[in-house]
Amino acid sequence: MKKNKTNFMIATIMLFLLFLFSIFKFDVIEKLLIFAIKPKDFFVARESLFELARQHIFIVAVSSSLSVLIAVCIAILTRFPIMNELEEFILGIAIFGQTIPTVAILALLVPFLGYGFKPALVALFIYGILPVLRNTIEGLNTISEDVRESARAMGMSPFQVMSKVELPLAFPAILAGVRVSLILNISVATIGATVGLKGFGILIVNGIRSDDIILILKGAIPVSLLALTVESLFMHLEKKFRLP
Amino acid sequence: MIKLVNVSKRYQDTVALKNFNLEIPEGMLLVLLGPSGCGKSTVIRLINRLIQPTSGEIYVNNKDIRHMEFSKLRRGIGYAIQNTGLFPHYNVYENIAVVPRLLKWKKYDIDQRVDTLLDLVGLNRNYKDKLPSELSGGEGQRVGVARALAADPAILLMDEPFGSLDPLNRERLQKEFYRIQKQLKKTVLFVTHDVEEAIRLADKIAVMRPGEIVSIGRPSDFIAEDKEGYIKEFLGSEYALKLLSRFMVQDVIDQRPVAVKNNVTVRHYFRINKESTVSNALSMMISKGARSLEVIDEKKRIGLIHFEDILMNVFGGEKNEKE
Repeated sequence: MKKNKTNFMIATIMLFLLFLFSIFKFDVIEKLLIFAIKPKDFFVARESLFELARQHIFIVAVSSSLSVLIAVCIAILTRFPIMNELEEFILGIAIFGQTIPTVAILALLVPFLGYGFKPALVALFIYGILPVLRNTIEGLNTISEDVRESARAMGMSPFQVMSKVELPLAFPAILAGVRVSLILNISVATIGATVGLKGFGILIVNGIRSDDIILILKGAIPVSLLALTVESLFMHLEKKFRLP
Repeated sequence: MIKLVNVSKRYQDTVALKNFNLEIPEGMLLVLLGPSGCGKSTVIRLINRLIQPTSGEIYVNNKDIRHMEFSKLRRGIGYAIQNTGLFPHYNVYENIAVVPRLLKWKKYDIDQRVDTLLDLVGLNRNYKDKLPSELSGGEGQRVGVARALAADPAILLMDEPFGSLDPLNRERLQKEFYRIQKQLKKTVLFVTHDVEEAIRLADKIAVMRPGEIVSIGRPSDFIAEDKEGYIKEFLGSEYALKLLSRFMVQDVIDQRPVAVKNNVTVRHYFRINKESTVSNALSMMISKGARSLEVIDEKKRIGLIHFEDILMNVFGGEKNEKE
């Protein structure tokens, strides 16, 4: 158990260092790649890799924070007796939202929100909700009825039962939901490039257009490393907060 | 004091309780004894308002609970249940401190109280940092009892608190709870389906059949139950034997001065501790083939217990004499 904890911690740090290396020193990787892949004429991005990384991380952070906030609130609301019946219905809507292809959502949003940051933000927000919502509801459902009843029987108000008992107990499950949501959004954000979102996606989309594998990799490698870093960081956190 | 007057509880098409009346005076431990599904737990959950009665009135300390705030009512009632209901994310200290914290006690007072309670329920003080998952069943249940007693409530509601323990631990906890209750004199409603547990702990036993109380009395009252019927069937034909575990050897031994006996007895006796139960004594008599045992108190001999003592003193000698 303890050993696993440190493993994830070390993995997180190493992946993060690799990620930093890939955005600051991509020329080194490029030189290695040239041995295997015939280079094309270089597409020169207006923004540096660091700038693209910053914007990519920014939109994922903003959209995921919003989805987590909303999803946890909705999950809490379903605990109330009146809303109980709606649990399935709300999950249904969230799952439905998930099944619409990303590109379709983006295309649908452009007429209303224009190009660039805004439609991408809304799309990521919608995609981010489901994992957190589902995990929070699951987490709250697995709390034993004895524990819930004890909390009430000791004179806790419904708010105290939620804040002191239910949410802390569901926290590891919520974290797992946040992890899935973040990973999902890191990848979906690359597709945002099709509506002009600045991020690693620009390199990938341009790479595909110009059939330039190195350019694709220039976007794909940092994005993958970013996703792996986040995955490993959250695995570490989940281990830390999971009860023995 | 707990009082239920004409309380009924109906779920859609089933009746859990009908015109239920019960009064538990200050300081009494009443055991509600009955088979599973007879509505025992319903009674408990009605008293702390986890559920609402369909009709009838419930009083706690002479106050109608409908006119009390939920939180105030519940913080004044200790509650212990079968699966402990301990909070898995709180350690032992925090679990015990829940109600005192809700009542906004000072940290120093809570520290003191937790130490006192751990001593009382027989747990080492260095258990404070352990999580419930690190405790054995018996230890967890001790913490459950300590938590119920935390804010020193006048009333305890206990819903089969020792039901999930192995027989050895169950008996140990029953003994300790009996000792604690003798010391604290709480008003206790204790629910169980275990006849022996009821005998060991109860001041009074209320025998239940689905939805209602059939009979109520002291444990030894039920021995006179001669009629064939529900009570006899439920209490079992070995009720008299089980009743023996309620009494300690020191309660029934011959009260004549020991000195006289010392002169009379020269032969060798098997020994039994004065705090053993009478059922232990009887068991020993049977296994050793002896009619009398020597009662000792820390290796010092204090008297003899005879088979006749058990016959006469436990089951009300006067009744036998009349016949």
